[in-house]
Amino acid sequence: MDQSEVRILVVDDVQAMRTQVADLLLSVGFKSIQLASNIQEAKQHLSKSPYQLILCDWHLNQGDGPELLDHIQKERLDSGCAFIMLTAEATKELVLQALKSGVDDYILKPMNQANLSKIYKVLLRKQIL
Amino acid sequence: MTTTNLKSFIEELSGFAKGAEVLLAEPAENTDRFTKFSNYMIAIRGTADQLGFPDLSRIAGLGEEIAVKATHVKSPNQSRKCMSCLWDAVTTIKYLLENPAAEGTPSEEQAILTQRLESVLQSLGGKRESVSPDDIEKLLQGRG
Repeated sequence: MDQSEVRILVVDDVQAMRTQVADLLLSVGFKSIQLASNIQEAKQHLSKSPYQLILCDWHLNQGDGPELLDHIQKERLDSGCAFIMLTAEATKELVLQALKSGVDDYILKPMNQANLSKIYKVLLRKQIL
Repeated sequence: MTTTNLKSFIEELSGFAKGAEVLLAEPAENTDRFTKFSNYMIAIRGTADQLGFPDLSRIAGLGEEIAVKATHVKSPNQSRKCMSCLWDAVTTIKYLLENPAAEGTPSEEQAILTQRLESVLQSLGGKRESVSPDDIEKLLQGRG
């Protein structure tokens, strides 16, 4: 799949974060980016069309990242889709919990150029790119 | 980042700070208030890291940790200490958001506050164990 075809869903309850992450992804050639500020919005997006990459914050206004991952796994939406936690939550116990639950990667904010390489690695590993 | 963007981002963070302040004024019976407060702090910290506001991030991080400790404290004295620190933290966060030019050049008053927050956090058992990006990389490799 060409990079420009990769559909990305950014889930974060902070608008500033959603905007910054989307701008960064657009700047390197991703073109199809949708934004969601909570779990419900994210689920609505996911029910309409498939996504190849989900970047999700841990702490959301309603619900949290692990809850969305659980939904994706239960609904079997995870085939051909990478789920990356993008969060400021660095508490060891919670990071271990996320890794155990099956996230494809765990990126600590800030989202920057260096972290972009992690996204590419995951997309290549999952043969999305 | 455009000036308009930065202004709207700061407004959003100010809304979080205001929300955190309101929580502190709620009655002690609201046992959720410290958890909600720490959620506001982590939102501020993450966004401050993204926008490159290290002073704001540091204070919000300390506020976040003290709020987590405050959910467990038993003695009224410790509880009062936590409350006092959280008020100071949120006041400083509001100041930094209203005066973004103060970022990177912390005042003497701010340095004293940071020291006090760190010392109170230490007296409550210190920060929770956290991991770095390198640690996460190793954990991911270990997962196979």
